[in-house]
Amino acid sequence: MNLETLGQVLVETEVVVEPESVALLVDALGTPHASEVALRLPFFGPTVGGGDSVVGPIDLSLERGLAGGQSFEWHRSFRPGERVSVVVSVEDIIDKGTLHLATVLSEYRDTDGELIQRQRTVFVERKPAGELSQDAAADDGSAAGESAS
Amino acid sequence: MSEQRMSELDLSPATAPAITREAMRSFVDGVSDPNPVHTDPEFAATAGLPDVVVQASHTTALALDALIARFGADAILNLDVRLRGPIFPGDEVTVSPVSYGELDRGVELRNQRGDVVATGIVVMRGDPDE
Repeated sequence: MNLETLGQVLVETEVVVEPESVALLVDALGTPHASEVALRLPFFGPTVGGGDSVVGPIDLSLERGLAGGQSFEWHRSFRPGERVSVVVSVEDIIDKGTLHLATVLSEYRDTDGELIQRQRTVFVERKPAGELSQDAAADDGSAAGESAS
Repeated sequence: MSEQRMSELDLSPATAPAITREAMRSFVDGVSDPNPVHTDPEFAATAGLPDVVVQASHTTALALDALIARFGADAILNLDVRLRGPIFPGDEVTVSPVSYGELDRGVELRNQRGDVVATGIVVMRGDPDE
């Protein structure tokens, strides 16, 4: 992952709550309340600006990374057909042992600027084997230096 | 124990319909997520997975569906979901209430084998920590 993207705004755009997309979510769930659920989460922040809009800049490997969690703060449901603005940013991105962790924040507002939803997605990425070897070598070097002194 | 029971959500366990590959594809198309780990078994294998896995928001939707069915959409302010394990095609996920403490109220998602696949903390409108 690219830790230099911490705090960066990666997407700032407007999107429409497409009824066709909502219908796909309703079909996928197939439950009595599916239409209400679909209008609470019609967008996935990491891809709302395009498939590579977040994965590219943060350099997330799809082979080594997965979503580890999601957090939603709802102020109201989306409305079919409405146009909303969305800002997607890297709220946190860290190196943690054998892993990289990134929190992607997306905020959706209506045309009056009122907050509709705040959504966070946490990605967990295993470091590539080469990077782990380098870390281990650096550790070994450090230990050797201490013992030499 | 009685204090924990008091903070538990008044929610009966609810099992969602078995998740089909078609449903998984509809969901990722609906949220425009092109990650092939949700649709392409060969790609999933390169990620070390035995099959495609359910998209993150799809898992959240399973929890939210049970909550909305019981409380209504407007009652729910916040849902914080931790993905604990993959959900595969054919899995049947049951959402049950659990308590994480005096104030936090949670849900647990298990597959038909009893594995915990996700947990969630729920904040309702009017909760003390809203």
